[in-house]
Amino acid sequence: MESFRFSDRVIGLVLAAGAVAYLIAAWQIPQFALDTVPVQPRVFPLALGALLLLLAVLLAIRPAGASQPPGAEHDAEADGSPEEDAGSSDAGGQARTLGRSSRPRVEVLILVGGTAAYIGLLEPLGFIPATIAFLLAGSWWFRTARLWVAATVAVGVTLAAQLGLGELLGVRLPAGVLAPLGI
Amino acid sequence: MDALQDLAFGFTVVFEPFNLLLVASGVLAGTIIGMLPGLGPIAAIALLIPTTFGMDPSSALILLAGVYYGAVFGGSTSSILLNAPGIAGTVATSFDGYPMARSGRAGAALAIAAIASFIGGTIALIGLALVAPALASVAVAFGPAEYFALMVLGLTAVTSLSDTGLVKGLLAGTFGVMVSIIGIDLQTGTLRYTFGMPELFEGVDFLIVALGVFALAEVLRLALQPQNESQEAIGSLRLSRRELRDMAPATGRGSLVGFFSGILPGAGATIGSFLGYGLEKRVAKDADTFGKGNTKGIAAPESANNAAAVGSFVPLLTLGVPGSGTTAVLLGALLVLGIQPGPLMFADRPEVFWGVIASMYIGNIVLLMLNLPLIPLLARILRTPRPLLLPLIIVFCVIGVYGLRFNTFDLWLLLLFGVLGFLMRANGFPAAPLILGLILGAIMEESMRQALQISGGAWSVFLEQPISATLLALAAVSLLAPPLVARWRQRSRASVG
Repeated sequence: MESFRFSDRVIGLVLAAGAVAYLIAAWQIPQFALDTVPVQPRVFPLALGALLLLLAVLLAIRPAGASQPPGAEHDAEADGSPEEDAGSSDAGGQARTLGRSSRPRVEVLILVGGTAAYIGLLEPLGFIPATIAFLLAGSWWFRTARLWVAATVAVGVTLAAQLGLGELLGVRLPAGVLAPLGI
Repeated sequence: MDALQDLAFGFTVVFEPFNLLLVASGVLAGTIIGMLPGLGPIAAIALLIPTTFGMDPSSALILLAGVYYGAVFGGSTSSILLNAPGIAGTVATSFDGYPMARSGRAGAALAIAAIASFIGGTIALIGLALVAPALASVAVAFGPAEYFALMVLGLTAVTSLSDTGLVKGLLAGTFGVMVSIIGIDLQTGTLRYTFGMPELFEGVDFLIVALGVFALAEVLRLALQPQNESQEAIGSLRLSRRELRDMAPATGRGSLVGFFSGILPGAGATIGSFLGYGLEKRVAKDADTFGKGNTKGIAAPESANNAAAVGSFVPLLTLGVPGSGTTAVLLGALLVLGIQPGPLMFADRPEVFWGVIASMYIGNIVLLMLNLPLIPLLARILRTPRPLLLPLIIVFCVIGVYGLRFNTFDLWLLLLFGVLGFLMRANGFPAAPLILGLILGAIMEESMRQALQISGGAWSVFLEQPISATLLALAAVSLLAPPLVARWRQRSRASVG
């Protein structure tokens, strides 16, 4: 998680810029005659934008000592693996992540990119082929010990989901290229 | 006697075979999901909400309450066996549970957790049946101004108790409220923050945000940790008489602390379990053995977190205000099912209210019956290899969100909130206020505008009504007290030093 930490100042400034943009958008919400609408639809967003701006500025200007909240410590605890973390940093050449890249940013980028590809292909390719491919690719990326087990689980879970949701509960999962088969 | 009669009515609802099946399967599913690293009650409930579509509301809530219960206990199992608390509410359990498991007594530690959870849940359920109707009658006096103040209190209480700093908690809560007002303004029909995208006209569904910031963000976090292969022996589940005698008072104290912290909006299972553990350590004669496998160190937080889980249903069912992040998700589920929790629920939907309470009694028994004999078997799920588990969680999230409106736009939002949740976690921003803000935001704005409409636009309405003024004062105190107390302590320590 260390690779994804930013200073409170940077986060505060980004949020402040977002709050200003939010306030500008709030000003553009149309007004109504006061007798029909005593509370304009822009009032609440304006208050929220102002609050966000105030909090963002507070975050940016607060002393550096306050920038490392107990949460960061708690985070490490909640990871549940203080020994694991220590081990991974000590080990030098050993894996620091679950996947095939040892660099955390690349690992997250690949996972987000893979999920984006899955979402993008879900409708054109169909639920069954896209899900099986995603599960297989995901298991391979995370260095599964036995690819045949992963393949069995991928096919089994996908078909069970299609049957359970599609056939029993009537949830229309995209058929994609399998549409001609009547799925 | 009324409460007893109503409870008997609730049991008739639960004892319908279908509902009994739902209680059992909900508890089992919750336990299994709660045991999976990173999937706590919020994710468990969010994942199972789509299965309740089309169900009778009381049956749906019975299922989800069972899931909640089971997931809280399931989280304790991974805390004890792997020192990996799936949820914040079971962190305190790991302090003594994990050392006990490492000393080859994992079975006994799990048995203590199961028994303490059962007792904590039962004591809290009695409290729920007695306290909830009284609270509901008070709540009838609530108008829009009072509701607005109550929502503010709920949000500030959760935010102020978050362990990652007040400013970050408030930022997360404010962002949640901002997300909640996206879409068509129901009073004027104005589009707000939809950026010309028709998919946003109806707003952002809470399930998308909940699955994104909790489940998907957790997958990203777990992907950064190498697999932990160490597995300890589970051992015998038997407890000695001395151990049982030791844990009895600890369980009683933990249950009471947990129940009352659960009732307070914002306190919830996490604070309850820490308070329970802290109290027990303070009163124990063998305080030096805490953290080394003391049975009381497991019994107190476990009874407290289950009692708090039950206690958090009090504000949810009687006032419509969730006491925790999990009950915020449950509130969303109720709204999806067409139920508005609150004082009128007693009159309008007694079968739902008392059915849930009765189902929790049954669920509590089922939890004990299932967990004691199944502990060795269930623990095998912890061995699900993460290379398989992580892609599977993503697929479950995608299915759940796609089933909402059958469009991929929601899936892109899911991914966006997943990345956001991950970055929030990496930078010490709590996710629970975001979810609370999202759930309470729209109701908060509606109450505020209604109150102002009644008062002719006079903002003083919030301070003139005694209940509303008191609640807003409490909200201010809950926000300002923690930093002021911390500063005061710092100063007094400095002056002593």
